[in-house]
Amino acid sequence: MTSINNPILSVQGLTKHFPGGREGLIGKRDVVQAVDGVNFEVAAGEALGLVGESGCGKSTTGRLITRLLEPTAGTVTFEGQDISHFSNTQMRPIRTQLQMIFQDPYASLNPRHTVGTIVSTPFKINKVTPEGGVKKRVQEILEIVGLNPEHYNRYPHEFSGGQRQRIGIARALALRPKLIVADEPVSALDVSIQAQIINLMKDLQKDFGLTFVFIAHDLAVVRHFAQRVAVMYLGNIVEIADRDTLYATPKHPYTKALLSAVPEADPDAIGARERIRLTGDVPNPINPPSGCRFRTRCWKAAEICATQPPALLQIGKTQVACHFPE
Amino acid sequence: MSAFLEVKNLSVAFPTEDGIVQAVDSLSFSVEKGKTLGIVGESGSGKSVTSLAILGLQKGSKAQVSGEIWVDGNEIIAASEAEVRKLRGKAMSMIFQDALAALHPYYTVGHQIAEAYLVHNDVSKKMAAARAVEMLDRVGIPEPHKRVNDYPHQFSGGMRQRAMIAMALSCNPSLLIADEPTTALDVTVQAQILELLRDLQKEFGTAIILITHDLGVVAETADDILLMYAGKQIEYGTVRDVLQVPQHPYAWGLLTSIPRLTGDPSLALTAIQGAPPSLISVPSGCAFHPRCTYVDNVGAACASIIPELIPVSEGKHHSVRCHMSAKVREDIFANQVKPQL
Repeated sequence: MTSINNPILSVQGLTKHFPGGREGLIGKRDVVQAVDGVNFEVAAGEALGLVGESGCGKSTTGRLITRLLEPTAGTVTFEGQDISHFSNTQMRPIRTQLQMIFQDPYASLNPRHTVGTIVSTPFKINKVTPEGGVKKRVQEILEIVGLNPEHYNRYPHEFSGGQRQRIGIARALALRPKLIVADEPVSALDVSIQAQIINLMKDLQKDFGLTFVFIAHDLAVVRHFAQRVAVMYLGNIVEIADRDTLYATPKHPYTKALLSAVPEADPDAIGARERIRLTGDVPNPINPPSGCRFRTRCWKAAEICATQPPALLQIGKTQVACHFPE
Repeated sequence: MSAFLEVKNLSVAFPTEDGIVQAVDSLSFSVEKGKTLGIVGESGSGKSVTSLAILGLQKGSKAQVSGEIWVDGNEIIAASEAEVRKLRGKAMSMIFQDALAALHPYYTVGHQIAEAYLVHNDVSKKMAAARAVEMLDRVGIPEPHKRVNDYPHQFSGGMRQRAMIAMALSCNPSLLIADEPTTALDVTVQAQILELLRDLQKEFGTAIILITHDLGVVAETADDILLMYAGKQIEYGTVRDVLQVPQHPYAWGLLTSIPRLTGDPSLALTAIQGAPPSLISVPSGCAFHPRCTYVDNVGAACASIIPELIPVSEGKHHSVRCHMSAKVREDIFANQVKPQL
């Protein structure tokens, strides 16, 4: 595995199992293997894209990194510190460096708090008083994310979806964090607004040297934001590479299928592209297939795929977990 | 010859406490059998209201519907509830976005598919149940004779959407309205569902209205595109024309702002400024003018006069609602928009 010099974030063998339903009253509980042995590193100032379909564990991974969840096994190392089992008190100083942007701008802002209160809460919780006072700093941040600082006393319902997402971004930026985990930050927005938010986050990354873990299901959106991309399937990373390599020469059959399924708004490109149609749905993470978890939908699957889970190995510029990579 | 579905000057308004909301404003379009029309627009542009009006689902509500809707020679707006009811399910049916909300959790999937078939056909319950199995098989559900007795929660998201399609198609409708049928689904499953719709259309010659916000989905499935903004149709034509030589600045904005799998990803996306308007206070004149980059090419007309829907060129099935002259639009598109696509 290629390692990055001084990664700001390093995740090793990260695993999260959730208790599922149980059979009868005294039966054994099912275990939902949401994330299962995930390894990756993120360099300072880089944007890592985490893509996959629903239920692949990308959001759980994001919540483990920000320690909104505690891992079942494995470690999360942030700036050299193993934070995997930190208590809430221990996490508090870390959280000033590690923030999150949520998917749903309607659910993630308290409707009874003004924008000013929402964006200044991080200062209060961490007992930080910025130079010139909290209000001045909050108004500066509002301006940075493209909101009118005079809207300090307005409530979330007075804003559109795109503006609300800007408020969420402002809150994440308040303490000048080093790493931001953005979980599907544009998927709830209208098409014409998505580009505004992507451009804003790109500018912020450049201006403040922010590091991003960008979680999304939309491969085209990730391509425009992340420099490196990791593809997840059913709790595992199946492929990880720099953007250009991954999109030009996908090595894992799943990555290939995922790319070919993206509909393109160009009538001429439609006939020209190779089509791979996966059959069936993503299997249940309570009972994932043995060996390679993708084998039940893979056209290349052979005997070895059912018995041995493939390891994430370096092939050229890509790390891929497949017995028969392209 | 008239088309299977013909909509003329359809307007839908809702009286609210804050005033009248003109959700749909003088919409005209048609769909032939075996063809697909994609209605594209952002939230609040009137796409879903249009589909509900075609199905006659606004009867009995406060909505004020005017214009004409002809389905296979039957006018819907003036028709009685009983008359529309006879058409609904049989001549036309609908697939909803959220299959989990549209399916009843207390009844088995098979029961719900058989119900519509029983209502519209003179058959026994047994035959209707057999029809449910047949339809599930047709939409690619494995082991349909077993799964027919499952409840919706036992189906995955993709399977539920398939079950909805099975239900909508059980009476062989000639018109199918699909309202964001794949928005809640993953891309690989979305590709399966779109392919299924195409196959079924080829087999049964169904006319389809596909409502979506995703230009990629339209490009792959539709024959015509109707682009809506703030309740009005602002561009209408074949998929090829609208996506390759788009005429309206809003269409340009949409096409240049969507992230793609090709092109230089390090360039910033050209975003449309501002946000879609609220239908309670639609901007005067052209509703898009506060967000339009090219208002300076026209002058005062954009803010005061609502532009007419005019054909792009004589006799062509491609029309646009914009004050700019054809020449100016052509220049801007060739020099400023095309290089970004």
